[in-house]
Amino acid sequence: MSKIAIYILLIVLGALAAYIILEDLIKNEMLIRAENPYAFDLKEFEEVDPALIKYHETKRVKLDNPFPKAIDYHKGFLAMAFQNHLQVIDTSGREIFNRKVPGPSTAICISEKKIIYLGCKTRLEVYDFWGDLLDTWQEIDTGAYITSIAIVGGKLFVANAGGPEIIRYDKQGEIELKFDGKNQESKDHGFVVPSPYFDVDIDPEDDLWIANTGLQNIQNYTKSGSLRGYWGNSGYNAEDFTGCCNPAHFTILSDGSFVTCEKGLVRIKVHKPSGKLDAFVAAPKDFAKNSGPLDLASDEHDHIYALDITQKMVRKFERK
Amino acid sequence: MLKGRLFKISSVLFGLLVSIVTFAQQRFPRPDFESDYKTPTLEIPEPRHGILEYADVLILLIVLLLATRFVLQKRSRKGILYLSVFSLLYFGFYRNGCICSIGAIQNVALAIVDPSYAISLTALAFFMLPLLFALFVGRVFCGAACPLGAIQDLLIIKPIELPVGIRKSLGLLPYLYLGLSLLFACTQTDFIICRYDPFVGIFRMDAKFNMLVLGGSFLIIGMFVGRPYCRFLCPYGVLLNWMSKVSKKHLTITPSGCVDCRLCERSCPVDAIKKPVADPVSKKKDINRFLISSLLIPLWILAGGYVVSSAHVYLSKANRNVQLAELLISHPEIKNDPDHIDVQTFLTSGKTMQTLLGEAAQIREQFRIGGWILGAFLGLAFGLMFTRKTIYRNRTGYEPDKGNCVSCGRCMDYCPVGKPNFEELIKTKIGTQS
Repeated sequence: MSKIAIYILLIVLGALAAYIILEDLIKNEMLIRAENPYAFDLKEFEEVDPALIKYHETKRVKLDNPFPKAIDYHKGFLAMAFQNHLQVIDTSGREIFNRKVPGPSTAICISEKKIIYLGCKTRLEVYDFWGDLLDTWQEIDTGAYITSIAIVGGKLFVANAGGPEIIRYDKQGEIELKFDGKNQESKDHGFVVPSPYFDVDIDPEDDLWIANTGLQNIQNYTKSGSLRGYWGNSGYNAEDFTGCCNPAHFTILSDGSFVTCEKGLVRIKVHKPSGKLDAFVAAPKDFAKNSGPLDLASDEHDHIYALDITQKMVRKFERK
Repeated sequence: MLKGRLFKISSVLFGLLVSIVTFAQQRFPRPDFESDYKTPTLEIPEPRHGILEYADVLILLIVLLLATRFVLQKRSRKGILYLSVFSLLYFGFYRNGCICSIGAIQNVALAIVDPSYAISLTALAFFMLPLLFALFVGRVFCGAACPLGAIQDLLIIKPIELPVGIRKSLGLLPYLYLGLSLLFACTQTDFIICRYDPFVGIFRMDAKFNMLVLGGSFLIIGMFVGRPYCRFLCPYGVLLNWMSKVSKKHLTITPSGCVDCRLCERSCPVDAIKKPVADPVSKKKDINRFLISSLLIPLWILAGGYVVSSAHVYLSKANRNVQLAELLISHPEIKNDPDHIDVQTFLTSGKTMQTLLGEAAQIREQFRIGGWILGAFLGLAFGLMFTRKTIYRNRTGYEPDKGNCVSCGRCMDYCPVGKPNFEELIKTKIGTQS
């Protein structure tokens, strides 16, 4: 190759390199970004086989307080946590009380003795059934984020998404145990909680169930924090859990079936105790566009109460 | 003997590389999308966890120490070559070219101007270590540890000597690139060194077409012009050049005295060998030229500052906030486009148009001030380049240019001094010359 040919080649390639850099540097990316090649279109997954929808909506109760956060049911009453309010209504929608609380409320649970435990992000507050403050427990730590509370056998199991960990309290507010789901011997991954959705509930056999949302499954633990089993799969099929952190909320029916609600592709489903899909309670089309996930509660008749945080209402579903 | 040691060193480094892979684990397992959704590729590799974060620093340190030994003590071109191949495989293809010392300039710059930006110790170490080594032993990083240098070095086929004028002119580009990358990093506009790294797409094997063409162009150019990126673009090379110029020790072409055999003359692919220089004919004339050039430096600084700061409006268009503000002013209807992710993100953030315009104006002002600094810096570099041309230093033998030499060791390999076949080599050389 002659020297002149090499020089011509170098000039051409040098000009090409300069053009590529300058052209990219001066273009307005905002105009180019108008089309997002990675837009995640969920439309095709919003369609649900009508035969699978075995529930229908029977009641709606509009809520006045801003920012509804969590719901729990106990013997005819629904207790709800709003960012700075605590409200109890009966199942017909009649208000029992509505109190302002310091907040910010993030979780709620009523005990057998009608004591209300309100999770306020980093600490727990204890109220009686008329909304009077009984006690404020010690702050967990500044990075804590309480997302769910469950009570069994005189013990409170508090889900802290900030850990992520489950904290076991006695009823006086003393911490007895913390566990993160990890097990050195079996190399269990532990709780993976990418966002503040980390639910916990008790089944009719008094067993503890925890939604390991980052792994898209629901796990069964002993009261001392040992993993016993799990079910759930990541995916877009009806029986699976979608996205990064699901199921966002769940509750357990009298036969041990699980009612789950997912975020992103918002849908409420019933899974049998084995984890097999039983029915759809509500399909994505039944919720507002860009709806957040709905916290769930259920009563003795296995009616399902869903707290619609986007439309600010409690929605009751019954099996057809 | 040396081959045996090199084999041992390579085995240890390879073993380390393999063992690191087995430790890797994602903190948050990626959800298994069982749909047709195409997951976006990450622009930068995922950060390393725990002690692995520091493994790269340790490996860089080991490579730099070995390179120093090969350059100063062993005088082994082969050793440097093997190290550079390792660096290409490890820092290039295995670590996907991230983190690298060249890009770390931007992290350091941003950390200095923005106290809320936390720079990792790894980034800081990658920035500092090569500079420290350059300060004491020259640019061993370029010769043995830089994957960008290594990929170009391995493809040098028929290096040609560029005319001095072109070399000097193109040699100003790294100053411009350094200044622009600092300006863009400090205004939180972009990390352009990473964005226009021509080889990172090759390392990650995911280059977009235009970047593949860019990388390919540099590699083809590099077949005839040794290390084009290192010499005419690399912003980190500017800093290494400064450090290496005052380095205490440095690679030497010959282990003892230069015998002026000229065997090394054409060995350097980066034209970094200084030839012997006799005393200038007219010292008075040169002193006058030196004085004039020196006096012109402030003018170059002012002119540079003025020119670049005048372009601040244009330069600031690279900033996303400025782009968004301009877009919303020129195309207000775009607010109704539900698919425009940037516009929708802005609208849902709760930020007012007034706030956005205020931010855009602030960024433009930063570019104006930064433009003066960048222009002054370029003017200074330009002025000094002219002034240096008026300075003559008497040199009797061939020497490496301490600033520009990348310590690849080729010249050491060519130098016959101290080699067993010294006499024969000299005779051959004399024979070819006559």
